[in-house]
Amino acid sequence: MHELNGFRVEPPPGYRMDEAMSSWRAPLSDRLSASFIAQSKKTRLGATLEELTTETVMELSTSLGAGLKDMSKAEFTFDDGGTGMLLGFTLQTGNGPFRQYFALRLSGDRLCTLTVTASATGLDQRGADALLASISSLRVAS
Amino acid sequence: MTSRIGRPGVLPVITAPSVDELSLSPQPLAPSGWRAAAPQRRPTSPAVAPPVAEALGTPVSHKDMDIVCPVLNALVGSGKLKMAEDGTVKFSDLSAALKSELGVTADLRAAALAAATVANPTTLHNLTNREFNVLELRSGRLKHAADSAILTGGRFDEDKFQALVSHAEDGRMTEASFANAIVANTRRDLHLGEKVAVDGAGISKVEFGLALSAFGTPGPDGKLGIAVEDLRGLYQYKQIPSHLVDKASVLELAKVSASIGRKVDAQFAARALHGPATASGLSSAGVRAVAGQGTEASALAALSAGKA
Repeated sequence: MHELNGFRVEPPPGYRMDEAMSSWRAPLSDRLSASFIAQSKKTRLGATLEELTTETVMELSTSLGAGLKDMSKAEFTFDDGGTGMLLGFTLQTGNGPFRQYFALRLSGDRLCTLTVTASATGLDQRGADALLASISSLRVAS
Repeated sequence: MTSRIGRPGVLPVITAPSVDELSLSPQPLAPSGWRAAAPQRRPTSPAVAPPVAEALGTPVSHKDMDIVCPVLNALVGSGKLKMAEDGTVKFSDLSAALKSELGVTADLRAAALAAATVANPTTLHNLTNREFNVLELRSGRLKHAADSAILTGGRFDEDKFQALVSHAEDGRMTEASFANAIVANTRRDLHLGEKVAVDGAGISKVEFGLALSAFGTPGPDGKLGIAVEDLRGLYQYKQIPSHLVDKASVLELAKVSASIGRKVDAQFAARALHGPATASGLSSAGVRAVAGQGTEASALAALSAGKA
């Protein structure tokens, strides 16, 4: 039986988990609330983190185009010492600018992506610390 | 190794992003620990390089080859677009040439620059340095199947040109002519794999649409089209048909540009933005969540269909 945020479901016999995505939202603040999305999915065999990061940037650049600004990229060390990549950028939308961060961590042929979205102006220091702590907490399940 | 951030056991003090770091900044962010790597031109993904181009018979070396994009080839060849010896073109120069030589509108120029960003395997370099290399388009993501392939081999290919203009109506390539050519080119490239060919067809629609928006004029029958000889001038003699641009109504150009822009947006949306499994899908989902909107049913349908 699989737990699904207030529900339970029994997948068909023989089916294996292919991809998982969960999202969380912060308490409402000024009619907006930051979001935190975690996704784990299988990648192609042999893909490196650098390649996957580049592909992410390419896709974002292609699809978001001129709406994408102030992109930065850095290696990231998680709490358990594992490394990943962190992309940060500002996304111009009809609802105003949003600051987004993509944290990518590769384990074998599985890629976990954390996507943090916050208003470009509405996040305080406590909220920023909490977001970073959550990103840092990502670890490979044993 | 570039800069690292994180916390060995405790929450970091100097690496935690401050409020300012998480706020909109007019300049690229460079706070401690969040600094972008130093720009360097190197392929970030060698695997991206040229499976399609090689399959189409492109020589490995790009030296002494024509630029594979006919419009860029003509702009550079006619001296209207500055190119460094190694093929580097600044985004600012490209934008200026598109505006002054082709009358391309601001929204379309923005789309062109977005495309130029991913036109080489060195996307991050292009993004941070606001430039791209026109001699390395064959190894980039935008080189695709189902195109005319007239310049793919490095020089003007008469046979490929004749194949394209065989679809002309009364000596003019119209929307229907280009559509028929795309279908034929897609069939030609099916040996590369159905997905590769069909994906290429999607890009070709945009490319030919852009050509029509820039150089198309109404014919005697009222259909928008480009004369075969003008196309030859563009592909073979690197001549921008500026007489068409000069004669073309600015209003008509703006109308077609806007129409193409909407089609481009629709394609992007269908291919990436509405798929939660993709990076931009996650990006979109994050914004929808922040703005208080739910996940769209169509996004889940697309995700499910994409996996089937």
